Amino acid sequence: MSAGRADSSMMGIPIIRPGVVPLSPQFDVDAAKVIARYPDGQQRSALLPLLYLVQAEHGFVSSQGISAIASMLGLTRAEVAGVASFYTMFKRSPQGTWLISVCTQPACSFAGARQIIAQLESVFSIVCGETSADGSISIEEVECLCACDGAPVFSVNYENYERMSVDGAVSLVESLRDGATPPPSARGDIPSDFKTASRRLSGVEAPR
Amino acid sequence: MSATLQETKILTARWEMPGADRLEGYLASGGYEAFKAALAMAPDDIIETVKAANLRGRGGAGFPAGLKWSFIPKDRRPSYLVCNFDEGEPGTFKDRELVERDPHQLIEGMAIAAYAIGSHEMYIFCRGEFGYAARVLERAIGEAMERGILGKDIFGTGFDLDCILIRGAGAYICGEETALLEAIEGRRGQPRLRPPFPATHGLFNLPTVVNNVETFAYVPHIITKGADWFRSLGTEKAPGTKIFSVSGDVVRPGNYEVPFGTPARDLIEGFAGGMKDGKALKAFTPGGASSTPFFGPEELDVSMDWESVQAAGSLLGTGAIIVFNEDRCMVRAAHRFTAFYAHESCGKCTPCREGTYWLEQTLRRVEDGRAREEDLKTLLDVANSIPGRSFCALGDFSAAPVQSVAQRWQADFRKHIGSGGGCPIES
Repeated sequence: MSAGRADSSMMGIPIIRPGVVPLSPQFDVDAAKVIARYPDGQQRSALLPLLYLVQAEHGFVSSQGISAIASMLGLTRAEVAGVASFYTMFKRSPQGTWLISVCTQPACSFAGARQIIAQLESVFSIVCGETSADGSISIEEVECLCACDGAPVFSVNYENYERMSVDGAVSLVESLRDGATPPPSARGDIPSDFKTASRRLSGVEAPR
Repeated sequence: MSATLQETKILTARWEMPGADRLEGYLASGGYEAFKAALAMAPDDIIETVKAANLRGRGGAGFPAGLKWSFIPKDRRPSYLVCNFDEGEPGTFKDRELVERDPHQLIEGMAIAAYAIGSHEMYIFCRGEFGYAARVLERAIGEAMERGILGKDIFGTGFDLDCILIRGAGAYICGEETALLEAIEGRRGQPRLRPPFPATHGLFNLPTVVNNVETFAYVPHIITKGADWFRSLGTEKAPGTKIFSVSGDVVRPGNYEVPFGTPARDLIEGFAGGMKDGKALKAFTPGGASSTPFFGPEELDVSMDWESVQAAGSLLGTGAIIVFNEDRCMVRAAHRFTAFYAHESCGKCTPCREGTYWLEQTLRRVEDGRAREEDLKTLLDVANSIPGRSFCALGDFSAAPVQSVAQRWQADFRKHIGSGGGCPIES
């Protein structure tokens, strides 16, 4: 197989998109820090964290990111893309600044999750899995977020909001679209934008 | 039901204590004393104590933790201790709250277990979506490292222990222990063939113990108070307490810690305050989506422990009680659970990958009011073809919601035939 082009759209991972800038020098620094956590010969364990670091730079798992990780870990691009496509938190297209994930398992369904999704889809003229044209909002349906005592539950960049009415949910998301800072989530913290949240998910800022 | 219903708070004792999620608060309430005591014990004595307590894994299978630890070969190969914090079973929310409110309890339990099996490296695999819980853990690990509770030469004993937090990325199957190990190794989270079991060939192909959060959290208490104390709680075969997550159509959804053997009625009608809006109970899951078949009002007095729930025809699973009231459509419930399995099937085995897809498609059609008489037979045919023909338990469990509803709540299913659009039970 010729290098690069032939496998660049493998597993639905998009080829280079216009507007995607190269990875920054910080990426290499962060990647080295994460890779060093694992035993000698087990550097592949850094793969999930590295995919989050790519998302932190590009807002999705870009083709350049896959190439960079492959060369760092001595894997093929297909191996990296194969892992990225397995996990739902690795996004294959650019995400909005705010990713809204609505749980639709029974307890949340009883409590109005379906109506929340229907209203969000209608207000933002997108369906689950899509991003608004202005790039501010992505909506997705997710499996149980394990906060069923707070049903209905949805998260903004993986920070939960609980027991919110349909109108409350819609006005919160509208305020995010209009550039407002999110209100405190159920545990009191304020969600970061999608790229910053992805960086946290990589664990690079953690002590270990 | 007793009028003075009270929880038995062991793991949840610090939940109401301000500052218990920080090291200072944890130390002030006796934290890490059990780890200190354990470091003065012979590792095998710790394993014997946990065995004598008959601490059984709280992740679903109920396998004795001490026995699992004793399988680690004593051949001086490096070994690993892994915490399964990939909580994702629909209806379950106890591990997340255990970590958010008392992270050091988990770290202490893991540290004792690591010392007992002779491991110097432990991993916590945290579900990716748990943003807040992961930050709490990060902070707790940092505090423990700074205080010398983790790291080199802990408390001057010469024992070294490192703790690495790794986040998942959205795959329920990683709650299966071998899939979880694959994910830590940077691979697709697909279950491994067993045997060999992780005890001999686990993380990086080395001896590994995997337990879930709730299981590790009991360890400091067993070391401090002893095996006899632990066995004095719960039932003979299921000693200790269990955190039950109660949700759905009840007045006070939440986590309640009670001894094993507590009747489901106490949890639903007592702690959770009974049915919301005065409705009647139609069904409940004794332990999450994977614990089907669902129970009905007839099973309210079943004791909540592995043996009793199994004798009543279901599974205790993770102890997640989701309550459905009389107005709920069980076809819709089955569809929601089936959609979950269809989405979470890892794709490794054809019966599970294809079976869950067809079940979901067929149930969707039924729920939308386009059911045909023969759909019931199709659903059961497909459902009966999955269990026992797939690699891991996800396949086995995926059939149960459909089997359960097709058998016990067939009336709900029949109302959908010829209803001509939309669910006839729930609008």
